[in-house]
Amino acid sequence: MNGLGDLMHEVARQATAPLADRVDAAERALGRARRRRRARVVEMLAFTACIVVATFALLPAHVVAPPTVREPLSGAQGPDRLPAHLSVPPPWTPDLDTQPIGRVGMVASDGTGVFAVSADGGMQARIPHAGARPDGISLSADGSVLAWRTGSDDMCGGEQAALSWYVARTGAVRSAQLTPDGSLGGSIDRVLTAPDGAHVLAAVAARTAVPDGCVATSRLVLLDTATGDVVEYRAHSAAAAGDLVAWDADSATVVFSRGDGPNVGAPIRTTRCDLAGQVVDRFTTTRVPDVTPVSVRRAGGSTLRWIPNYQDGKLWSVPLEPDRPNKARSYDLPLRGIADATAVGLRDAADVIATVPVNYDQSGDRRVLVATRPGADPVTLTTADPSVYVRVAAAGVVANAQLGGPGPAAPSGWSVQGVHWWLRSYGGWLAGGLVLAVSAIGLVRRVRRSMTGAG
Amino acid sequence: MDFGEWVATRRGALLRTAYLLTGDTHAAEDLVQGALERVALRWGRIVAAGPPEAYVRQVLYRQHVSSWRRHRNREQLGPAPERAAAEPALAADLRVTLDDALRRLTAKQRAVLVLRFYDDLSESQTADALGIALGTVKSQTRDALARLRSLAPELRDLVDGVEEGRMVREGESQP
Repeated sequence: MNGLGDLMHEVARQATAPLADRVDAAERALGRARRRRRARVVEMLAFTACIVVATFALLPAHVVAPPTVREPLSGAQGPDRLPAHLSVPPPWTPDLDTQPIGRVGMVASDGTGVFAVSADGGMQARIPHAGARPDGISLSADGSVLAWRTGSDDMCGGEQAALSWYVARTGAVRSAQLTPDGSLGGSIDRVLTAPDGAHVLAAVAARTAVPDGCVATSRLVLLDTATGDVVEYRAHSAAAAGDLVAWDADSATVVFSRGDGPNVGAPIRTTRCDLAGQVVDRFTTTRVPDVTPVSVRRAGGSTLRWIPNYQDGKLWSVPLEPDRPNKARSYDLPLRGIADATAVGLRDAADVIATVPVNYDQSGDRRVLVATRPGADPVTLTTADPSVYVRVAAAGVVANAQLGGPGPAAPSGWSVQGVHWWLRSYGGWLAGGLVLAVSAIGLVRRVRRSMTGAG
Repeated sequence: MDFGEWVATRRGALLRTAYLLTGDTHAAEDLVQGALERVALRWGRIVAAGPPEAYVRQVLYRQHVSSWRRHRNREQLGPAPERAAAEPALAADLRVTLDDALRRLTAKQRAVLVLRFYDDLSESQTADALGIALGTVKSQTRDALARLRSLAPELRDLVDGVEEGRMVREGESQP
């Protein structure tokens, strides 16, 4: 019998088989078809799930949901998120130097003072400055608002350097003069709030009269925001040769650092002091790029010195730990004018968040760039729309909130952002697991089919 | 050999051939039953003359030819029978295709194909079994294969294989 004959035999055999056999065969075939269809549906669902998970995980965070305002440091009692409707009523305009944190939604300035806007949009407090626009605004870790005048550049005159603050805990507005009585005036070079939210460290240049004119004396003062007491920081002598750089929340110490000249490879000398001003340790790390260090922030348990470089557009970070010397790394941030950044944070070893006001626009509008990841396109926003500013501020909060913290924690409760956070963290594993599971199931089915001879 | 035993043993094979000849299960059963009726009356003499299979098949073929001659003008295609699908999908597809294609052939073409390629009879044996001329068997075979090829392109490989075998056999038979 040839091939055609064989097939004819099959035709005849199937057609003339006893009815019971045909029913059994039909049922078996039906069962197989159902199982096959079911497996195909499962495979399709798994594949679709993989695509959805991968797509969702790869979406930039700002597409999925506005960033969450996280607890900046211990003690803050702020809301989880800034409301989208939060805006600043005229004539108040948002100040790009602000860093809204915690229960204080944001701060704004009208040129004569500072006020804080709560998360629900209501004014919380106004900090007057005797008709003068504050030169600096900052927020303490517990949500208190700090505002200060840097003082006058007039060497032998001008106003005293003063710092005012709104205490979020009590709602009171307090003020303190940082330059000593009897001085001719002074200026505040730098203000740094302590992790406990109760202390503020300020570098002040005070001018005093001498027989042939005036001299400026730098002093480092420690302000207790609870009592308003201003005391000379005793580590001043140890830190006199360095820059005040950061609070170390983990060890409750203050870190000073200074580079020995602008040359590449020149060492950075770092001194760490406790709150009482006693030197804890000193160490030296190697300075990497030939750029001006701007600030040091803490992220992920490491003290990181971020160093913007106009020339290569990179953000360098150098860990300031004695046991991790020379472990500098760079982040590619496509941000022009990064030196003006008001908030830079490192969420983890590879994730940088920066909020940078840029004045390049010839129309005079201030634009803000927000970058969330090295290499990612920055989000450009204008401050003309207060609500837009709020989003920028929220991004700034995220950046700032990460400073000193152990890195991002999972958002509590169910939310789109929470799911997105989870997928960004574990989506790769989930998608990979799904693909492996589907592949394994398919392989097992094929092997079983080949072993039984079916199919 | 007892008639009942022989029928129990060979009925399936006869039924399959009858199905291929008629293209319908019920018609096949009728055909087999009619053929068995005819041989049952002379069963003793048939068995005495030798193995009864060839004789019974001869009766089956002749009955079928008589039937198509009788119902030449009112032959109709029956409904497709229920089919089991115990074999792989590809084989099942080919089987269904062949079944459908066979139904579209004329009764004579179908009978010629069945005898030639299913029962493996030679052309002369086929002509003898069906009571038609040898030339008719050849032309019917050629026409039936051509029709199969056009009706079911999926079967082209099988048909071509059969065609080649037929050509070879014809070449060998010619001096």
